[in-house]
Amino acid sequence: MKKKFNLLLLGNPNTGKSSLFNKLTGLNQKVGNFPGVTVEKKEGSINFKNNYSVNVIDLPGAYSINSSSPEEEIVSDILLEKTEISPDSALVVSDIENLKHNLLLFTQVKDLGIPLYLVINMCDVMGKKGITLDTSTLEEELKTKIFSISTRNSTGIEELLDEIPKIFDSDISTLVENNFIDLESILKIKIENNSSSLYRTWLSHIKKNQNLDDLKKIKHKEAVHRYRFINSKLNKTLNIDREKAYDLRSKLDNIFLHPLWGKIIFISILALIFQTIFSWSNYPMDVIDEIFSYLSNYTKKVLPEGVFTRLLAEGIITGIGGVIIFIPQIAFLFMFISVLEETGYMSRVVFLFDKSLKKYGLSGKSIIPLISGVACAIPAVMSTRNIDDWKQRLITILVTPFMTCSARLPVYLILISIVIPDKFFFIFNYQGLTLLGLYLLGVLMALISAYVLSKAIESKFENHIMIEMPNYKIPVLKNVLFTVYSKTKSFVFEAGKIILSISIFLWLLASNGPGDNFKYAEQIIMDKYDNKKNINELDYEIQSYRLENSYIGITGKVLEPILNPLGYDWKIGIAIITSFAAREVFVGTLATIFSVGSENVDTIKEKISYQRKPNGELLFNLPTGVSLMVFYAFALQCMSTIAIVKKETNSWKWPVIQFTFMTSIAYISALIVYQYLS
Amino acid sequence: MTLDNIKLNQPVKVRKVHIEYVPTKFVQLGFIPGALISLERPPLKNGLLYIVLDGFYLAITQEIAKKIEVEKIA
Ligand SMILES: Nc1nc2c(ncn2[C@@H]2O[C@H](COP(=O)(O)OP(=O)(O)OP(=O)(O)O)[C@@H](O)[C@H]2O)c(=O)[nH]1
Ligand SMILES: [Mg+2]
Repeated sequence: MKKKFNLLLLGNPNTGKSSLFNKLTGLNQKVGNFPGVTVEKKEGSINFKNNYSVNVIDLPGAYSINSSSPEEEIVSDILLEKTEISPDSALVVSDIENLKHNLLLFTQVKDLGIPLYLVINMCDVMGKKGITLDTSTLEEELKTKIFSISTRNSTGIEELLDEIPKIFDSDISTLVENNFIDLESILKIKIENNSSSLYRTWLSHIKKNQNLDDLKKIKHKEAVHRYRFINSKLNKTLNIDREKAYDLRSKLDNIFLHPLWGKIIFISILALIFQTIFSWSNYPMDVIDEIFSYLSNYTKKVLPEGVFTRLLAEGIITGIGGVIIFIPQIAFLFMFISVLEETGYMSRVVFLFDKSLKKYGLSGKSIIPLISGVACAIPAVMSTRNIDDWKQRLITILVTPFMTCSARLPVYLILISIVIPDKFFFIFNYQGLTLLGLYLLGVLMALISAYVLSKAIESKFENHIMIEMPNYKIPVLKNVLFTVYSKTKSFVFEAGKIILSISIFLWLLASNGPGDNFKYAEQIIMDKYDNKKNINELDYEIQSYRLENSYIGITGKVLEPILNPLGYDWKIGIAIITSFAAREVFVGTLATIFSVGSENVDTIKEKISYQRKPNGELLFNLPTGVSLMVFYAFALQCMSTIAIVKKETNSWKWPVIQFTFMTSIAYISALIVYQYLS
Repeated sequence: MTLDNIKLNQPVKVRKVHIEYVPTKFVQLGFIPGALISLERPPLKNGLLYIVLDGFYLAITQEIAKKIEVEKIA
């Protein structure tokens, strides 16, 4: 036997593969993507005594060896040996309540000749549901070793672990009589290629040689045939006494699926989650912020002054802080989402909202990312994993950043307070109305874009929604914690790398510049003011002058002709570029560039509201201010979002497209607004 | 009749699935002749159908349901 072999966890969706995976591997797991797709790949190892180890791979749920979604495609590609992951052995995980439907995939995998065990999970509910199963007879009928387990109560896991090393002793002969197979046509191939199973040869043969309609008919025939086999076996062994079954389902469904109350309950749950994410995350985020600015200052203090120290203190440490700061929000959001999933409530949400969101090409599940986007697009984009249909998932990822995230708020607030009068229209305050308008604008643009994208993007998979409606369950704390842990970890190590690189790059551009103006900034300013200003004021002037002559400053000036039609000068241009790190940086940059020398918002506001353009007009007048707000409402001014979209779509294609279309919409809208108002 | 006409407390049996219109996935889920289906909740207008297929709870669209022929169980 090999020293190391792969053990695939296969099964229909929601049968407890991941729960079993967690039980088998503990924290010995790594999460990544399958090459080329957005499907999550989880691998972990179990080490046995005799010095060999088993590589356990948790696969996404699939109903059969048939590709009707990216998830199923991965499963079938692996099973048919089209990937680098070799299907050495498998555990087919099924759910005692849906045994019949789970056995279709089981018989297919079995007939591929892969050594396997059948794992029947959720056996803890058998009593409550009036289910009895004659396991030993079924073992004989299916020519397979069966393990009845419950990951919830941890029963049967030890027995399974003990037997894993012996999995290669299992019977790999064909189980279901192959009379749906057209023997003649493949016999020739079979003789040439004797090693693989008849079913395997047939599968690859029909994929290559049939047109789609024929293929469908063949698959239909196969399914009918296999179900007939399964029914005959289960009739002898499985008994469900529906009289004994006691279920909360219909009572809870009456509440949660009520057309009116159901929605109200969901919105309330969401509001609660949202509120908690906002208020709970604030404390750890403040602490993280403090720690990193302390570290940055401390580094500057203890290390000798120089380029390296500044790179470390201002570039790297601040950059890492910019990654870590997202952790609380991500962790809280995924804690809630995972609870909603585990309880079975998420399927009800999809059921409720599917109709209204489908009009825009979105799924019922899009509601969670969209609303989370009001806090921050990063966790929101990550939460699209729960959308099964890849096209709907992609559209949700692409439009979520239109939702008004909390980083836009400081930008809006300062601009509103400068350009919108603090007056009333009846009982409505103009400033408040403007803010509300900006939020609505975001929602509106998200829906419109979703609609347009749904017409523009083609999918090779048919989208016919089928929602499984699982039983209501009490969530398992351990599963929730695993989700939080793995989401956070993958964010930090995948998106984190990109965020860190971009922030160091931006820092380099802002703290270096060509020519003497940048190099001798201090001297130039000193000479200019000739000691007429005090030390502090001089310092602000120097910083401002440096920024103006840095690479970013120069880029701002180069961009000025493009920005002029929107009412912006090069200074605003600089602030737009730096705020690519995070939108709220806009305010800080304006403070530096106008040498405000204070972090107090009122001071900043006062100082910048007096700034004038060369022609004497106020720089921040109504047209410019509104144009800027509209620009920020639509532009993808956030490197972290780009990083997370890259991670979630597993390619640079989509973040580039997204950045381009959002920036174009932002530019054109800001242009129209400015030209109309001025 | 077709599956979209299913009523509460009136289980039906699948007679024929128009596989030209129904994705293979549904067949593989068990929408095959002889399967028993009952309605779990009354559907909203044009909303999803919440059904039980041989003990398996799921919701499908009415468009798909229209392509599945069923008969009442006496
Ligand atoms: N009652 C009971 N519930 C279980 C058991 N094992 C898992 N569950 C629940 O079943 C649900 C699905 O579990 P997962 O482990 O996510 O299932 P999965 O097969 O990985 O699901 P997908 O990855 O979506 O295909 C969760 O709500 C679990 O809490 C069990 O032994 N008993
Ligand atoms: Mg899973």
